[in-house]
Amino acid sequence: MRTELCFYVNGMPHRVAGRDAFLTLSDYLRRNQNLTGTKIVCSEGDCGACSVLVGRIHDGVLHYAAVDSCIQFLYQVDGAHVVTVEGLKKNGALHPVQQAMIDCHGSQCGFCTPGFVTTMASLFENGGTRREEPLTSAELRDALSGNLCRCTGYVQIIEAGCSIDPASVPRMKNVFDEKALVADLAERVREEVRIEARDAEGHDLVVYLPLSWEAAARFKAESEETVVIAGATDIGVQRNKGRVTPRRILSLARVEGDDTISVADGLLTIGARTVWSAVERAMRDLIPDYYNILLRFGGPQIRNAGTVGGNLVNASPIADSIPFHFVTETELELISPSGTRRVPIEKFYLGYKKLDLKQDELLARVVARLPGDGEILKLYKVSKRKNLDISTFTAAIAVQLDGSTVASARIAYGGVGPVVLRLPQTEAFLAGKPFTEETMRAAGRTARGEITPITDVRGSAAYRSQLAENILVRFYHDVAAQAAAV
Amino acid sequence: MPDNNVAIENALPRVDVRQKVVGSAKYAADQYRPNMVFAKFVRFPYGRGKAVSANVEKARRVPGVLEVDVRIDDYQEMPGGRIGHIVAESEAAIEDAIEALDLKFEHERPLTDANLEKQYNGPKPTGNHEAIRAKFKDAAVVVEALYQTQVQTHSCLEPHGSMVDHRGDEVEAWASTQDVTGYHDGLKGRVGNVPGSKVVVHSDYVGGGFGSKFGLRAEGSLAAQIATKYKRPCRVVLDRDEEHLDAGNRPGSIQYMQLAADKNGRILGGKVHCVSVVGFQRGGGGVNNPVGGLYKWGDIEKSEDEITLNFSIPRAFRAPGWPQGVFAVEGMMDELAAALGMDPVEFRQKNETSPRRARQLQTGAELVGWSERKPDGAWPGRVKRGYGVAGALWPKWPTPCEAECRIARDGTVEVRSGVQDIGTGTFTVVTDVACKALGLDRSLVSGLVGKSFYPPGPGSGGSVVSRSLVPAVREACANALKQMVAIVAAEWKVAAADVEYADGVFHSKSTGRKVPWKSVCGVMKDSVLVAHGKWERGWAGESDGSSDCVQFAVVDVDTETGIVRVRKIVAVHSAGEYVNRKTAENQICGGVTQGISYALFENRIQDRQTGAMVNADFLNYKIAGPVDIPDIVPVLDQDDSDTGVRSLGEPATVPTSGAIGNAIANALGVRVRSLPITPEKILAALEPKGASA
Repeated sequence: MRTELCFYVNGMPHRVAGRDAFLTLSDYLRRNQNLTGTKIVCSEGDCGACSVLVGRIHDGVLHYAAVDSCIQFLYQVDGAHVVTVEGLKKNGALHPVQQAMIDCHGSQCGFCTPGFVTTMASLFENGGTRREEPLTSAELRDALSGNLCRCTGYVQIIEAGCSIDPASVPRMKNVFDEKALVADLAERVREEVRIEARDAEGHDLVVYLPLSWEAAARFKAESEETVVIAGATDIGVQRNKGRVTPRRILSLARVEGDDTISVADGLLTIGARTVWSAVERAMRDLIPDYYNILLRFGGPQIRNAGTVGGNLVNASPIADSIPFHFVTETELELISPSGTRRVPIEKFYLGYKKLDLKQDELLARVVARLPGDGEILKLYKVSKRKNLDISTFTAAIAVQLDGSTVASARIAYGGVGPVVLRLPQTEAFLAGKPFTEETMRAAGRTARGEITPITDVRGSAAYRSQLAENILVRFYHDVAAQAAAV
Repeated sequence: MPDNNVAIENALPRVDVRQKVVGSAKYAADQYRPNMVFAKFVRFPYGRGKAVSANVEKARRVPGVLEVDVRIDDYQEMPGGRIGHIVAESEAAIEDAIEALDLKFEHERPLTDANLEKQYNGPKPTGNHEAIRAKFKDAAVVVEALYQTQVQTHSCLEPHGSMVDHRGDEVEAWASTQDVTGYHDGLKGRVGNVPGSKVVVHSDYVGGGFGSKFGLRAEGSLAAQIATKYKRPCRVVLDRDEEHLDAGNRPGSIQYMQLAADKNGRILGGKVHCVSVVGFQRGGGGVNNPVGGLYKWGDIEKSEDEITLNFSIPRAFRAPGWPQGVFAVEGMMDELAAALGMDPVEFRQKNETSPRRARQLQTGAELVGWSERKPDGAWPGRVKRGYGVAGALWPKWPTPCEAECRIARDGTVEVRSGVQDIGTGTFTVVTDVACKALGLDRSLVSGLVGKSFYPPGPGSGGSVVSRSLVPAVREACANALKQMVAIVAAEWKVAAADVEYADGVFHSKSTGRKVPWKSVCGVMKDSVLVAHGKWERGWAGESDGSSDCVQFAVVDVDTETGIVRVRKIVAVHSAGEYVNRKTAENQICGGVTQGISYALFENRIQDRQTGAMVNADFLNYKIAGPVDIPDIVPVLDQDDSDTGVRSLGEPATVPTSGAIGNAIANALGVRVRSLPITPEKILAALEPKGASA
């Protein structure tokens, strides 16, 4: 059992024990290491100014991806290599991203610049879109959607990104001694870690990084105070806003397996620890509509840290992934020291943030049914701003056609109640009806009657009701051509 | 006499950018010192009320806490009101102390929204046009409407903050300020007996200003107070929520207009009633309507009022009052044009006051493809395309500025001025203007700004820095060259008038002798040759010029979700001569992007019951991101009259929301007259019954 964190920053080994192990990554970099190129702007993963590259071992090599360091805890980078904006130069020479930002006037006041530079550098790594042709403007816009600039130089920043020849970009494995890093980190990630400390006020702190689900579930069961942390993209925000102070922490970062995706017998199985960016890559060809909406889950930095399990267990009524899982009749595999059980996702949510999850259980796997032949699936996310915005309304609509007739329909809406809802009346109404605009318009009116949304900062009840109605008509128009081909 | 005529027009990289891309640029928020203490305000969270109890003793007992000061019963009228402060050895200790304080509040129902509280009692559209028709006999059409704009926060990425180090007999401060001279003036009176000459302020890098970072401000004042008391460095840097609550905002507005035009499309005049919706302390850049000089308004009868809400004081925000006014005024222009059945560009041409803008209307219309525009609401399909246009102008506000040229024996030159670079490229402007004036390149010349001990210059407001700085730099360099020429003349024993200088070489007209720059520097008597330059109002070379611009917008509006995608903005701007084409384009694209953000996303929202701001973050207060940015086409429009460096930064953000509002109205065939134009407002406008269901 190791009792200190082991990780690397810009190629140098770091060991951290005691109270400092509970710092956020950005505080550690800025305060303890004086690496102030990493900036703090929003403290909640909305601006990307604190972005750093985190390299983790996969199949014997380091895969680098950008994350928001203000909502990562230091213990989450145990066994990883953190590269900050200060670490991108190689032998004093600027990284091509840095040079392009200079040449294209991609920096004005400069406060957002390090975050754009690190995020853009990550695009040329193996966790990003490593390839030979330069990035396109559209790709860059999506890839940089987790970064904000207020001055605001997006046009020039995107121009800088487009101007970079991928062949000229040195990969991190050439900038740093990859072999030595991997040799050491491969050892480190096989060690269980447990760190105990006391905060300034005398509270006990403990963080545990087990290697197995069983050990994790046992630790969780020991105390109701246990806070389970996977990607920390929500709890990191809550902590920075002073709403929670995790003191007894179970980090799933080190649990082996279950960060993979597999397809067999019409079923899609996703490990709960899988980060969203991995799902995104897998869905690109498998379920393109899911892929398209995944691009709008948080920003890239959030998707590189946040996990499938975290999104489902956090149980926000507007969690972006839940409607998809409702209409794909997903089952959740829960693991405890005494074994596993499966729960259909609709039965998992008992009320607002209330789950059918016992004290000693953890969500390990998610099993969804892939859309079958003749089944049309569309997903919608409506938010004020296109990317990195909490949804006002979400919808998943799956329609099984029999010729030009609706054989069956499954519809789930988010943002219209305390939990994501299936719409049984609307589904029943659609069964056996001809698939026409008129039918869908009538279904929209039924749908409107099935929900009682509230007014909040993201939209009024009336607006949500209107969307609930309109979205079914939109679905018809979006898939009419596809339906004709079925 | 200094002049402002400088055509450099290069596109070289900025001189201070390397430090920014490698992460070594240290902003005020990056200043940490050994032995530093942290201070933070204790704030009232609601719109109106007071703290009634606080466990100050418990907070003081938190390890690491040095000082807790909380005012009980101090009545507050804004969320974020400062009711005390905490000083501690760490930020964590401050957080623990705030928790330990266990503050209890009493609060009353505040005023948070002019509409909900029905505070507006000015005129509203009634359809009664008798009076105006009686006044304007030639009126062919009369249009009246009520426009509204929201409250926008500055949302600078670097929070407002200061780090002040008091070392007993001297004080050094690092400040995120857009007015280094003004900050120094404020600080020097608040550090005990230390004389102003021993007080130094650094603002080498400033992470955005936009009007909210003038003066010492509360956080600078607290840092000074604590540093002076403890004789330790003290850091006060606001959090993101404090930024939204207590770091300024662009006030909202309600604008009633009733305007008449004759059958030829000439505006005859009418009535304007403007209400600025401001925080309880009032002030700070209320609405500017009608915008004088933008169009020929005819005979306007204008009245003004203010509605005060329980929110913080507005502050100057990039073109204070202008975007509000132009959004409404340009909306009315389109409503008048529609009533007359006239093309909006044609209608503007008829009422245009500026030949320059008339030309820009034409240029922009061609670049944006205005001929593709369809009548209002006529674009086929569910996603409708619309085209819109709006214009703006910017007056000159000349401000004195000084600069100093320092030539060293090794031939290097520093040109210093106590202005600051808030991201606009001021370091680059000073450097390149000096290079040109001295006939040298960047390898020898450093332009330096952002220190209080440099010759005083204006704060970054009114878009005056470049236009005031350029002639001052040129004069400082000219004066330095005169001294250099005198040195050469003395060496050669010729009259000064015999010595000419160009491109790094001194030359005697009579003898033909030549000597390069560095050789002359090497024989200077003093180690540094210093020359001053100053620019003041009324001096020769003062460009006559206001700046003009016209922007065109193309949008797609989804009529089922109400979502707007801005496809293209063509921004045609005259700003006289420019120093660096790319920094000028940065200003235009940046202004446009902020305008898009203002038009579609930004909106401060308060809880109606408590007055707390519910979106005091970037989670729910959205500013435009990379995906929201259309194709932006910046056009630097120039003609023979465009001499001198003029203002560019502020006008760039003025017309964008008006152009977008008009484009959306063109797409939909119905008009949303309130900002931000959200999907919700669009669906409500399309289906008024649905909205009330």
